[in-house]
Amino acid sequence: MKSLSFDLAVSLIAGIFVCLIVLPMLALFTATSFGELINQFRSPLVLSAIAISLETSLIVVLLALCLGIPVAYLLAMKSFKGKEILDTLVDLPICMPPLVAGLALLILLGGNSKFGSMLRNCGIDLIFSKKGIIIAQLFVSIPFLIKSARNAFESINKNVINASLTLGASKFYTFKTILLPLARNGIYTGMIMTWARALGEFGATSMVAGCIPFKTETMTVAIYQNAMSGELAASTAVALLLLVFSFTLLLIFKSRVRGQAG
Amino acid sequence: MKALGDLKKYKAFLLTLLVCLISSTAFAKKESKELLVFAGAGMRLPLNEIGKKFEKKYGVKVVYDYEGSGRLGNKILVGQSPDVFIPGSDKWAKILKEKGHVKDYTSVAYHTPVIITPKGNGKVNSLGDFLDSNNRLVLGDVKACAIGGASAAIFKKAGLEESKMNVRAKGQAVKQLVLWIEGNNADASIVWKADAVQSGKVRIVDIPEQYNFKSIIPVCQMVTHKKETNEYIHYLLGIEGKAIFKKHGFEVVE
Repeated sequence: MKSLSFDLAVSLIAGIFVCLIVLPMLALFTATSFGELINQFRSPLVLSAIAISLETSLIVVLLALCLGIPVAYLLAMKSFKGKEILDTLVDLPICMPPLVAGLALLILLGGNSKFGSMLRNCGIDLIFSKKGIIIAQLFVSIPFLIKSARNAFESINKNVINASLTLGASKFYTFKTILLPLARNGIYTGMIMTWARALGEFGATSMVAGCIPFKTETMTVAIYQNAMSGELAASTAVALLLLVFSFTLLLIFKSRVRGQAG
Repeated sequence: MKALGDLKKYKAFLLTLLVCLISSTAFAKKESKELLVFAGAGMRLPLNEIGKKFEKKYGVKVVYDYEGSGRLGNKILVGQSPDVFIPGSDKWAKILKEKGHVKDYTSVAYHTPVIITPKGNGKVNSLGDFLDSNNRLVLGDVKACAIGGASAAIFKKAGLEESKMNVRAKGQAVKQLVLWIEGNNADASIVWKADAVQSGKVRIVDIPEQYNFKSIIPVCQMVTHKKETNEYIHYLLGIEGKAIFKKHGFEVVE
């Protein structure tokens, strides 16, 4: 019975959490209509914004994998001078307001900076392009992959790695055939979080991306613009499309990962 | 029953949670001698000065919430009510009057659009230069900010087609456009004169009167408001208030 009351208390608190998330979502449904949803889903502008959001956020996940996994490996497996600093640097983009992140990228890559004008002279224009969106999204979302992959690497039994190395396998071979497969679920989780964060990113993106319809306008920018012009129903409809879409994709991905793990 | 009895053990915890949830609202009581003003972010400098002087004179504190007019307008639409609303154009004043939130409005000043370029960049010197595809432009988004609508109206008056321009980016707020030009990320933009003057880091090119599109800055009295509101609006529209607006680069309504 004692454990029952504990369960009851925990469930009650979980219930409060569910309300915290679900009630605002339901409120969104009341601010729009089914017709408006269909209307927005048919609009070429919204479809292009969805496509641009998807394209950029998926590239971000791939880039995050390439850059994040080595960092996660370093943090989990090695002890070195400045490890604490690297670890804190990973947290920094999470606590930084996205607008500030966008501002920082704009200053670094903009026309007034030496780096920015050097890139432009080489024909690489990052500001106001899809590349700009990708950099902004990567900046704010990569910590999620690193943190998740690091935890996964850390949870691997060190004896397994030592056994592989003692038996003569190279470090790369051990990483490829033992570490990566064992950390798979953690990395998948990190990929999902990174993708979700990149998809919902607005603050940093709006500073460095051009927000030009059909070229550099993402879904979050479309939502903002509709809301700012008083078209709350249209804005909410696009927001709901984004939410329903992300929820479904996340659910499918998670159940697949769980299925594989089982 | 036993389960319920055991629940008492967690009473302290649940109570703390409850206190946390309600404290935010309980402590947020407004003082009676305080006015809440929603204002467009572009009016921060003159309104801050007016607020301080008004408080000194009348003993009423003015609390400002500065944001894009659209964001503030939406806040009012979903139920938040300030005592006074001063958006960057009359677009939101009209919307809110129609929906019964705003009682009436009077204009205090104009927002006058100007062309801005980075300092030392002489590529754009008139509206006509906007059609040169070598000139990279950034413009306000028509939906997101009032300056977007104003620049579209100017192009229409001057017979220029935006589709023929090399528009690299659409800003979500006028300050963003100023920032982009300050940072030398484009060759020209159209912004409000007050924002250009306040920046001090851009070159200003005036737009000929016949093509320009001035936008009024309305002071809106809300349907429900405190009695101190009238004093504030009176002060704002009086000689002192308008002089402060003028000082910060605004053209005032005489």
